[in-house]
Amino acid sequence: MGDLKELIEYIAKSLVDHPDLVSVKEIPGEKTVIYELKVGEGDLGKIIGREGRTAKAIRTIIAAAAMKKGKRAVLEILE
Amino acid sequence: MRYIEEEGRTVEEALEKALEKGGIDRADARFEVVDPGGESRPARVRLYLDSEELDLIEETIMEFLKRLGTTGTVDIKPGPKGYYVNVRTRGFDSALIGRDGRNLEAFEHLIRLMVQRKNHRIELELDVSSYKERKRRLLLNKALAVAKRVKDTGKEMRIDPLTPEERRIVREELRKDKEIRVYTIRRGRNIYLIVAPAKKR
Repeated sequence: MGDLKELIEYIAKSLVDHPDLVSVKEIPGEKTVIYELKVGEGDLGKIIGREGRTAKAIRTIIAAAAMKKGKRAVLEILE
Repeated sequence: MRYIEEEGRTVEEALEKALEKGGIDRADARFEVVDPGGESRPARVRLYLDSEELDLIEETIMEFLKRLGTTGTVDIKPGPKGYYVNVRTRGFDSALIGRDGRNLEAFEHLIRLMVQRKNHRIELELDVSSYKERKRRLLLNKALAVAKRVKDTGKEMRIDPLTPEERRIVREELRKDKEIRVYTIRRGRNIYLIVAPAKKR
């Protein structure tokens, strides 16, 4: 599922002011892969959005993309 | 979103008129044929005056689709809320629509953010394979059927709970009919639209 990592990176980088500070770590599990997204301190609000709307939207799209491959993915946004 | 529309005997003539009026080079032009014209009616062409806005929307969506692992087509038109953008993908439509259009809401939110980061003036509504458009049409048909029944029976009827956006669409449509009136009631968490005859009998 390497490309899911790229997808998360791409979405995050297009929303923040400091794309160079974006990193995604992939933690493989038996059924579910966990992705840990880290962004620059000042950019956290951009990723989370008003009332968490942007974070929810990213999770929804990642879940849909994962399901399309018959996998499960969880996105964690590190503070 | 700015555009002009011109008529002509042929599509070509209409386009040339629009290009001249808008002061736009043919090479940069983004236009669509509104009506190809016929024996008794002129051809009609719509020319967008800010082609770079359409380019930005299209590029953003195509890049997103590429990262998803697919490709597709992007069709852009004027809509009630800025641009109405309809996307068709290769095999990813249902994934991007999701149950009750939930994934589409997420997709729209992200595309809007990405586009507005580069040009904050752009307003757009995103659709996938006309899902929202079809849903809107179904909703309107349902509302019109209810209105007809109310007029036939003289009794008021309740419409199943709708989202605020759906209520707005229904009210706007039914407002045109002077023989009925529409009001809302709240029952617990739900807000219902009630369609009633205009005058009490």
